This record gives sequence, structure tokens and C-alpha cells, in this order.
Amino acid sequence: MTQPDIDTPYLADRIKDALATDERTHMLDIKIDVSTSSVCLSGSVSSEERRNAAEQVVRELVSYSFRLVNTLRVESYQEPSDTEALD
Amino acid sequence: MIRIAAVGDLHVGRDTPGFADEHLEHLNDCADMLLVAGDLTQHGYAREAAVLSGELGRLRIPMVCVLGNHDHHQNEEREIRESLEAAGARVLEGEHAVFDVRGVRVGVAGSKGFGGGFAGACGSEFGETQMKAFIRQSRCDAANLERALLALDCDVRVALMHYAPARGTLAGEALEIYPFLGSYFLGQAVDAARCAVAFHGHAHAGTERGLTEAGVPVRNVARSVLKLAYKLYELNGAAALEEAQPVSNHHGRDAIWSGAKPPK
Repeated sequence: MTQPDIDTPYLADRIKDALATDERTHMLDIKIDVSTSSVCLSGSVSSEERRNAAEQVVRELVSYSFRLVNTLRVESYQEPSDTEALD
Repeated sequence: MIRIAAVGDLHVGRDTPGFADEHLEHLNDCADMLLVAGDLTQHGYAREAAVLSGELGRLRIPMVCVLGNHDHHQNEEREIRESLEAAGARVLEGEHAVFDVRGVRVGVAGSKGFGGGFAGACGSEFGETQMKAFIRQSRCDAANLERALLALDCDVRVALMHYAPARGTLAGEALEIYPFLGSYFLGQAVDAARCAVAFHGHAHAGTERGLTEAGVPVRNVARSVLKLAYKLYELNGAAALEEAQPVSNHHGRDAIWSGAKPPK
């Protein structure tokens, strides 16, 4: 478990690394924006469970002085309605 | 026409299926084969692959997969492969398979591939042991893919990878991570074999369409790029029968074409 962190210029990198390596997430494609007072997660995930797991991992890493904004979308995909001809 | 359904980066887990019931029905009705371009699982567990295998077992069309980096995370690649193969899928790593689609022999060769970057901005086998091993692995994976492609006795060649063989389909990703998304070695393999098309995944924020240096169509079929459960592509089987045979470029030389006409 990663120890809670204080504000640091490397915070976005540390969050990125935690989301990639934490066994609850293993997410490599979450976009992270850090300001002086907030951390925003954006992108898409495939389930509400994964959305919550990402938030939990980040919450454990950052100080509660940061507002955590979770804008991750839960995506579901449909079958295609057309076909691309390649030649 | 040969109808290929392709998708990558399913990231199946206990909370996330790979294909819904309606997808499986649609695939059975509308595709001649399904190609899956790696990252079948989220965490790399065989039990996640078993979820996907349960779905694939309901398909009546040929299924071909390569593994991705996520599928390697728990060192359960062998178990993942066995699970998928038990469901009837072919799992390719430097290997190939040929399928008869209404009289046209469609050959698919696959490899996870690896990173390293693209010509002009890529790593070399130089310096630290770890750096040399990284690039050597990438070169080796691409060489195995090329051998598998060239060994195909078929009318049309299709390459399936997880990592990208061209930079064009990475547009949208940060430039800094291109060397972790693909390698020009893979592009050389695709070009040497005069593939009709190359499919890959891995680049979630990339672009669907690109070309290799020799003009082979490349499709990034990461699900987050397609915004679809999978995509359907058509190949002209009759035209494929007329294509010339390839000549290996032996990695490091320019692609050599036996025919006067490069791929479209």
C-alpha cells in the first residue's frame, strides 16, 4: 500500500504509476490533471467497479487537502452497423 | 468478400465481459473470423481469460488471438493460452494459421510484438544490458512474426499484433510514450510479407487508421479507439488471389517487392 502523499510536482506521475501497478486497477490509460487544490481523473472505464477502484487508489495516495474529481465514464460498446472495405 | 471482425484491448475481468450475447450473435451472423489483438484480460489472470473463453466457445467462426502486455502481468500466459484454445481459439505468438473462407485461404500470423519506437526516434541495442535486452526482444519478436508470415501458404496474409507496427495509428497518444507502444521492426515484418492488412491494439488513445512505410493498411482496433464492441473489415478475396509472393527484407534493409505493384 502506498503511503499518503503531500503536494508535490510529481504527484500526477505518482498517481499514474499507482493506477498502473496497484492490483486493484492496473489501468494505464487514465488521464490525470493536478492543480494546487484538486486532482481530476478522466477517460473511460468498462464498469462502475473499475471507476470506484481508480478513485480509491488515488484517494489513498493524495492528501485530503486535494479535492478529487472523478469524471471517468463507464463505457459500453455496441456492435458495428457497417463495414470498412480494405481494398 | 472476406469479412474480418477485429478488436483489441478487451480487458476482461470478473466485472467486465468481453462480448455481450448480442455481440456473439452478430459475430456469428456477420463475420467470417474474429481477430483479437491482445490485452484479453485486465490483470493477467487465467480466471479472467476463462470468462472470455466461455463467450468465445459460443462462436461458430474461426477465432485468432494474440496476447498483450496485460496478459503477461501474472506470468499466467500459458494458462491463458490453454483456456482460450480450449474454447476453440488459436493463440499466435510467432505462429500462423490458415482458414478457408469460401475458397480463399486466409493466412493470419501473430505476435504480441514489443516496443522500441519508430525509425528516427527509436532505441538501439547499445549501452546498458537492460537497454540492449529491450531492443533485442523487440527485434526478435518481429523476426518471429516475419518468419510466421512468410511461412504462410495462403492467398491473403493478415498480421495480428498487440503492439503497433506504424506510428500513424498512434496519433493522439503522447509522443513521449511512442517507444512503449510499438516498433518499426513490426512494420518491416508486415511489409516484407506484403500483408493485406495489419491489426494491432495497445494504443488506447491512438487513431484507427494508418499505413506502414510500404503502404500496408494498419488498423488500431483497441476498443477505446473503435468505440465499438469490434469492427468489421472486408477484404477482396478475388484480388488477393492475384497478388505476387513476398520476399523477406531480413530486418534492416528496405522492403523488397517481388511484384512491381506495392500493396494498396
